Amino acid sequence: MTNHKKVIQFVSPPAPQWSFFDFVYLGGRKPISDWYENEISDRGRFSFDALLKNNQKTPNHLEWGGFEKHMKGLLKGHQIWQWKIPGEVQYRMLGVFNGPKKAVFLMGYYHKGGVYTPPDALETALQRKKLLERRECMLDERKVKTDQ
Amino acid sequence: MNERSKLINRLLSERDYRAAYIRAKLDVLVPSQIRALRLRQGKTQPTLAEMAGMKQSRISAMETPGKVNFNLDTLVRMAATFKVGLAVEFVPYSEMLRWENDYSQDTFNVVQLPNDVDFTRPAARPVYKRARRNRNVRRSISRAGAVAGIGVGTYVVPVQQQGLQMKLQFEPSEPPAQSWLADVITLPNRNASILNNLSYLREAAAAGAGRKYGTR
Repeated sequence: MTNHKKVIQFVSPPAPQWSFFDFVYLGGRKPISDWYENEISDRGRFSFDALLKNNQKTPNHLEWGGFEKHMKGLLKGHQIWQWKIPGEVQYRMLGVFNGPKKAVFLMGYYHKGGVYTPPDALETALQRKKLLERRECMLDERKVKTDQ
Repeated sequence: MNERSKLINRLLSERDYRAAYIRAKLDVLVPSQIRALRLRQGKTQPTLAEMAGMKQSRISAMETPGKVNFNLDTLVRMAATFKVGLAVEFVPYSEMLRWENDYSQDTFNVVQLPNDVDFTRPAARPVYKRARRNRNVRRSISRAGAVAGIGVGTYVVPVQQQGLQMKLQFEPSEPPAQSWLADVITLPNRNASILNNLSYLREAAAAGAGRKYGTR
């Protein structure tokens, strides 16, 4: 008895990892990097790194930790999403997708008791998104820290 | 001083910095594991909430990094709901980092209790392993014995120590196997002299000439 049907199992390639980019003004100012270095606490910075590391390995963005897709108010309908970053206060990062498995961070801020820090965080995010759409900005890839 | 050196120096010198480092990882990875387990088990947040006896909003909060300060009781409750175990242990920083770097929410999965054969049927595999191990011991001993010139049918009894000397005792476990030569050259009359049976010996040697050494 012969059986010529041969089952070939294809090993699926490793899921593509996400790349994350910081918004950079054409003049060279790096608002995301500045926020990361100066505006958040050590815990917030570590949390952001941990979140970045974990989410980078998660192909489906809907399963990202701290991910909020649908924004309300001023950002509603602008395709801007948000990461909630653990810390002494809940830090937040606004971003947009920019091509397959590419995400751009637009604005870092925190929000507590109805007060935004900085106060014009949402407006600034919208403005930067428009600059990105018009290609009037630069992007700086954010390296995921492995601490090794 | 590079960034890593700065990190190490501060971790070495500041307790709060160390706490922040650890907490940040747990803040992200614990909710991520809960989310991953729920998704792997094909449950919705309301279903899991019902199984855990909690509200759906609490499950949602537990899956959001930093939203819930987990205590052990909550983690135990979730582990029990997922039918998985929970290990909380203190580890070196290097191990914690390896855990974080190797972890992927997309592939994270834990065998549930009903499928955990090592736990539910512990007798099945260890007996098999023990049997194999014993067999290998006997093989290795017989191999060692062969090297040392000991017959195949002998085994080593436990070592007895007498004073400063160690004594190995060997006892036959079964009659020694017939050697290949003895198998081929079987004299018809064992009491007779070999010279009296020289012709038979020649015939027997000729019959066994085609056999390879070592085969039986």
